[in-house]
Amino acid sequence: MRALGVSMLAGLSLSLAACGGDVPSGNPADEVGRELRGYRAPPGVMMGADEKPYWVQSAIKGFRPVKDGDVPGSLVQREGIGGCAFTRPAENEVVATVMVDDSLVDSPVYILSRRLVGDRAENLINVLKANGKTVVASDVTGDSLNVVDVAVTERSKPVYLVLASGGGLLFNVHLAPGARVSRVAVIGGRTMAVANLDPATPVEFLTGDAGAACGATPMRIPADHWSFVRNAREAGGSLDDVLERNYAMQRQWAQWFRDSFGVDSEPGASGAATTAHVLAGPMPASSKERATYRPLKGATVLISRADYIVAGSRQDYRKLNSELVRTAATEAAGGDLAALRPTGG
Amino acid sequence: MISSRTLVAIAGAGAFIVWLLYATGGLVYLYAVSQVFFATSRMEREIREIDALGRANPKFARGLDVQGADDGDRKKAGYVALSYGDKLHENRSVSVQTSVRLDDLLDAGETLPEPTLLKAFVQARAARLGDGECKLLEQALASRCVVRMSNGEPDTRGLARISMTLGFVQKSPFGALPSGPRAAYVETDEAIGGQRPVRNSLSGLPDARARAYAEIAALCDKLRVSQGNCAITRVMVAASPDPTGSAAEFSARATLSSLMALDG
Repeated sequence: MRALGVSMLAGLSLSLAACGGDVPSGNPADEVGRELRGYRAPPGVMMGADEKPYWVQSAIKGFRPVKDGDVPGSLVQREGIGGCAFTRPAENEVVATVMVDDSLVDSPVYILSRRLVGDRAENLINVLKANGKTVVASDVTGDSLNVVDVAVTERSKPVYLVLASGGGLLFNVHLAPGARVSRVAVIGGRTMAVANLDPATPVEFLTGDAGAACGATPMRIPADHWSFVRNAREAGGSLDDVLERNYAMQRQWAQWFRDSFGVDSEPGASGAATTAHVLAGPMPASSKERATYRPLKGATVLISRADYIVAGSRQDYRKLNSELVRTAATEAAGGDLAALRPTGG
Repeated sequence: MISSRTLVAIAGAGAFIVWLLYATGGLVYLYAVSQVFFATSRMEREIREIDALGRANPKFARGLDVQGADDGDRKKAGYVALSYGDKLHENRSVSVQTSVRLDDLLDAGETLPEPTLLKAFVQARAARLGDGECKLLEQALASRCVVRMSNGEPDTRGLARISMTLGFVQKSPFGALPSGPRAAYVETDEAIGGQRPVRNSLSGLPDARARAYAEIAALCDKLRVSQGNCAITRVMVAASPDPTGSAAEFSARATLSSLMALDG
């Protein structure tokens, strides 16, 4: 269902772009919906500072939806910072904060954890024991790292880009003429990645449990348009403690952010709860000032540590997933999976 | 004799109908209808099979008026199993609940897998324990045994909680049927090895189960001598480990069935 929706929206965006090769007509705000923790922008709608929507083509020249064949040229795994402190922004840098929890666009980069492989091996064994069939569970959408395009249009100073997510995302960076990313901090609840940076740009990661241990769990200030906040208000006080816990978590994040980067996380952060495109900087005044789209195809992707990563087609993902799960299940069975088949009766 | 023009016309009409069905989504509709039909057939078959579980073998105890075997409008599960004594039957089973040390699940030279694979490991080895349990059963009371279900779950004490259900065919023959014309179906539930659970070391649990199975077989043999027949319908053995995980409280129960003469 989600894949169908994404395909339709991506197709819509593509056709809109193809029509004039440029910015679609209509108000992008009309396309934005609400979800538990903020706004949900469909592919094609870009979210700027403080959740303001634009058409992605307004800020990115040559934009096109990600295709299955957009396989990155190289994946470079990077260790985390080994503590809680990122490099502080310099005087001449401007901090641009991007906060997105999810995107509806899959990438051809897939992540598998040992825990997931273990769960699927257990599942395979249970099914094999019950009916003798060897079935390997897979989740091509769930295991894909979702992509967020980041158009950097800030030209007044070198940009210290802070890319934050409560989940795990791949940020694809597109620069406007005259814009420069001087440093990148990547903070996420799970595996995070960033593509199309200048190889000389310093990039630091703080992800997963290491981030949570630092209190670095990205979270926007709960706002009235969040469904969760509305639900809590309509619940007659029964969700007040849950709401307060969310405020407390956000305060912890805000404090950590201020201590780390010397600026407030909000207002001014770009993004939304769910969006596939973010504007980091002002909306370009003319089409010439737009960022140039850079596809994932052939790009270098810096990625935080994960147990298994594959950049490739869906078939490549299924092959790796199947190999890992079967190997784990065979090992669990002591080398002979067939021995687990039921004997009849 | 059909002319070639007629054949062409028929083929054309056929192709048109297929095209029409395709264009109107009719093929999808026909596919959906066929799926519903097959699914319904499958369900009907499964319902018949489930229904059959509640019916006794009509060839069993023919001509004998068996009393006490009814359970509402069905036959008692034990009686149905008894009537299919030479076959594996869903209503005849051994249930085992036990715990083993994780290390005891390893083959020689193996080490425990990383934590993320532990559940898969225990599930796989539970199947192997089921096979081993069948061998214990075959030594004592079964001529045939299959593992119907095995399940394993690691716990925090370094143990694996194992549960399994085995199906079996009894080794000893049922015995002689009462000469009739009336008989009573009687089930007895027996605590094996005493009414209270017995403390056992974890490593001694397989021996405890083997002794329980042998005792159940002997008990049924004894009933067969005194009453003419006996069938083992259901066996339940359970071991609950203590908080240290070094020992367990072991208990076993068996349900035995027999047909007792009501005349002369």
